[in-house]
Amino acid sequence: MSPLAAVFRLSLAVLMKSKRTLVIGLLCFLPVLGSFAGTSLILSGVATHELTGFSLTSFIIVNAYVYVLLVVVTLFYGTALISDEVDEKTITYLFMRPVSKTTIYLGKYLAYLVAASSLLLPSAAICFLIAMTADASGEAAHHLPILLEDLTVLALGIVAYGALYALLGAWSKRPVFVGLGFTLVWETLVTFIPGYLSKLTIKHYLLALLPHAVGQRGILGLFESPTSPAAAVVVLLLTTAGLLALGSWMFTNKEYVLEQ
Amino acid sequence: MTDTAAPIIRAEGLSRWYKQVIGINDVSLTIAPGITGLLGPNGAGKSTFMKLITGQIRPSRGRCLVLGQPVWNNPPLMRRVGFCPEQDAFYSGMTGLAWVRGLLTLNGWSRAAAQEKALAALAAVSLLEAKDKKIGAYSKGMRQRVKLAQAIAHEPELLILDEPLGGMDPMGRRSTIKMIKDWAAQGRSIIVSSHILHEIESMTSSILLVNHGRIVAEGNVHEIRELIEEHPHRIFIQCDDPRQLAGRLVGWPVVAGMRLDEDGVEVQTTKPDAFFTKLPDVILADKVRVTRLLSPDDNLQAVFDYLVK
Repeated sequence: MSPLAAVFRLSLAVLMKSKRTLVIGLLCFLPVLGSFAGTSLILSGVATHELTGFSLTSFIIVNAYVYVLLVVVTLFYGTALISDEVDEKTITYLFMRPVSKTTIYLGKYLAYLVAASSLLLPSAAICFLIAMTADASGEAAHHLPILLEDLTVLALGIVAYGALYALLGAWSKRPVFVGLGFTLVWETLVTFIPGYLSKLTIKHYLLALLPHAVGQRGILGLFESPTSPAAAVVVLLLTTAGLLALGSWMFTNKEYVLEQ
Repeated sequence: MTDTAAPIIRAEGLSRWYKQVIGINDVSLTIAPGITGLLGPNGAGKSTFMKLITGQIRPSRGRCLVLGQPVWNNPPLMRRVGFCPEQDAFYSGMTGLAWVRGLLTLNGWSRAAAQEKALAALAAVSLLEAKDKKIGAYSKGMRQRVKLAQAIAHEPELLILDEPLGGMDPMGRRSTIKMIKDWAAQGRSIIVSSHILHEIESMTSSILLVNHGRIVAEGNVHEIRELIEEHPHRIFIQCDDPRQLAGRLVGWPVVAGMRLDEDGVEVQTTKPDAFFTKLPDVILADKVRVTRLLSPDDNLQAVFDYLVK
């Protein structure tokens, strides 16, 4: 077995058996409940006529997934990749194996990708499928490409945010707080600052890819130029590569045993 | 197997400090193949030395070679080294078998080969019956043994054990000591640290004493004892007429002091070898019936207490 595959398998086994996965799984189930409740309202005629299955899906994808769940899942999984091993003093066992620290870092990151994707993406797809039962038959098939775009955006979010939070986990003793600071303070704050600062956030590029009407910034939007979907994908992938390289370098050179 | 000619550890001017605190200070030594015990009180620098030789930290100054190679960020070396850390840390949701097997796959073995080796290692530490139990449900002694299993599973040339007997019951200790000795008998090397001195003594007479970040003594425990001749060595002679024997021993130049007891005499000597050479003549000449001869200082604890004072 290749070292990368071995680290990946071991890390995935540990991740999937962790309490964190149980909590995140339950969190990912909440929008499904929301979708079910919203769809029931539409079907029973209680909801206004403007609310359709598709508009419900759009609302849930943007507000529940992109703004909340994506950040929560990637933050709590990503920051824990390294910091959990350090806090629980299990990192010694990994370092005492003939595997480079870069391989350990990347193997753990790949395990995170699979764990986060397997919880977040099916949940989003189920929300979509439930909500589309409220629309006329054939609408679901019509909107299927939009679901695929949504899932792609979420997947890119998992990739990019994960690389960022894994770096924070490798660097900081309190990665969750630093990550929350970045997400809640920086990414939110720059939304209200006119100009190009929003391009220094991951969220900006994810919103540029979303096939839903979001990111209406009113007069603030006059001072910025939109990012094309192709450019957004390139920036997200390059950012991810850079963050992974930096995280891997940090992981290789830091003496984690001193933090235990 | 370890090359018998080459040292397993070579430290040259090895120092490590943590801001203002010295962990290890200018240590130069070589450790020969075989079992070596590392001893020292808390804060002596023992842990720092263990972390340096396992590549968990870098030296601040000097260098440390393990099996002839630098150890920091040298993953290939880890094929030849096994480490049982002191900390009680695991992926507690995994079973003992899954944990040892998972770590073995990091050595490059297939799952099937790793399974086979993991089972052999668990059998060696008498954990085969509990292999499918979650580690979180193991007793302290079992957790200690499963740590040992992951350290030996890939059959390393050098085994580094940090307080390996902590938390084990007497049976577990005995079987682990035997396993360690058997391991060394196969030509492998072991560095073992412990606070339980008699256990170290039962494994090896080759020791390193660490205190205040320095190696205060190294070598055979008896040789070290000889090095500190100026330190009085106590010998208790249990006999039927302590008063008579004491009278004969008074005035011997090698006797530094004496304490008369109900059933014997405790002698303090600066030259134990000379004392032991001459003692039989006195016993035979005076027909004193000696029932027991004890040398309470001829153990690691006494050497350790004296050297770290």
